[in-house]
Amino acid sequence: MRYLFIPIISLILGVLAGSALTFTIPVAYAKYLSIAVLAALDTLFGGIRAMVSDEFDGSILLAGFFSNTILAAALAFLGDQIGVDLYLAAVIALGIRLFTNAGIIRRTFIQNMKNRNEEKKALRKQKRIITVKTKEIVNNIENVEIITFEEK
Amino acid sequence: MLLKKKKREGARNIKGFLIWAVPLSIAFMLFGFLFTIQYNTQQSINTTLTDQTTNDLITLVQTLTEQRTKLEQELETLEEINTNLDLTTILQNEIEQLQIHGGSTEVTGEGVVITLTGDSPFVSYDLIDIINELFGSGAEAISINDTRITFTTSILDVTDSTNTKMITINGQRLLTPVVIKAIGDAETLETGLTFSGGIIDNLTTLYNITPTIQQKEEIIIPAVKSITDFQYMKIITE
Repeated sequence: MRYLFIPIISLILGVLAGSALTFTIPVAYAKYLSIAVLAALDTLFGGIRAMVSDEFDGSILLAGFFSNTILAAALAFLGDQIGVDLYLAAVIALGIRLFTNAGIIRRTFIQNMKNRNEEKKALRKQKRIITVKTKEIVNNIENVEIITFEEK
Repeated sequence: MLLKKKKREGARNIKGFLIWAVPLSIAFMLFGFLFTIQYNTQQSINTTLTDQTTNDLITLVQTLTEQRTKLEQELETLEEINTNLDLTTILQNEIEQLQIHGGSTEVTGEGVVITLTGDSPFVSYDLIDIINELFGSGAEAISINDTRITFTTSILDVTDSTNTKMITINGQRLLTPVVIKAIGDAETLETGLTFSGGIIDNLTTLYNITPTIQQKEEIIIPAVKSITDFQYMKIITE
């Protein structure tokens, strides 16, 4: 999780590449690209969620990325061909998934933080117990020779 | 051993890091790329009409139609004014000219008044001569006893059933005293009549007719009483 800056840097790189090209899609295809972008965003959220809940798989992420973008665009295109606003279906499905994933990420984060805090607390408790016990032991056994072994 | 262990751990770390970082980076980069392109496209579309919302377009159309009707009205009024200017001035001039020529309006101006008293033995030819002389001297309008002289005026000697001789003008008996009014340059008209050997000189010397001639600043000559309707005459259009 410490290396999250790397994807962010690559995101910035992608944005820079996109703006450097100064290239616009024909108006007729802009709708499909918008759906593709939405699908890509959804895949990214899915990837982050998988990372957060330790189920991350790079190949699945990349496969999902490409298939989702292409499928979404193709669905929108197909919808246009038969006069049904199928892209709405993609928007709704992807939007719902996006929010669900965001929710899961948020909950997992909070849960992780809580767990860590509890672990720390437990650790501190154990430490305290250990110190107390060692003190007791030290107090109790006054006349005990401490034999040390050398490691071989 | 410890070092080796650390190294191996590091290698595993890097391997694990690459496993998640590379695909994620690729995905992020592609997303950034796609997003930027789409953003650019959308920005360029938003400035065109095709992607405006229906409400925006409706308001746009409404304002444009309002402006258009306003401009059309303005154009109409301006055109009206323009045509009015042209037509009215042209027609007014034409009408004035026609009225002056045809004698259909009362006219005024400086001129001379010639009076022939009842005891003088003049005939229609004398009157015609006087009128001809006046027109010849540049008279613009002439009347005899408030009858406007136009191109259809007839002056005749008539002897009626009781054998009395009389002069008719447009079929109506001319009563004495005969007052001939002529609009034009008064001086020219008078000299046109009175030069020695001229019409008045002749009348005086030959027939003892002494008309009185007065120059006047303002003479009013009436309009013709009935405007002739032409039945046979037609304009030849080329």
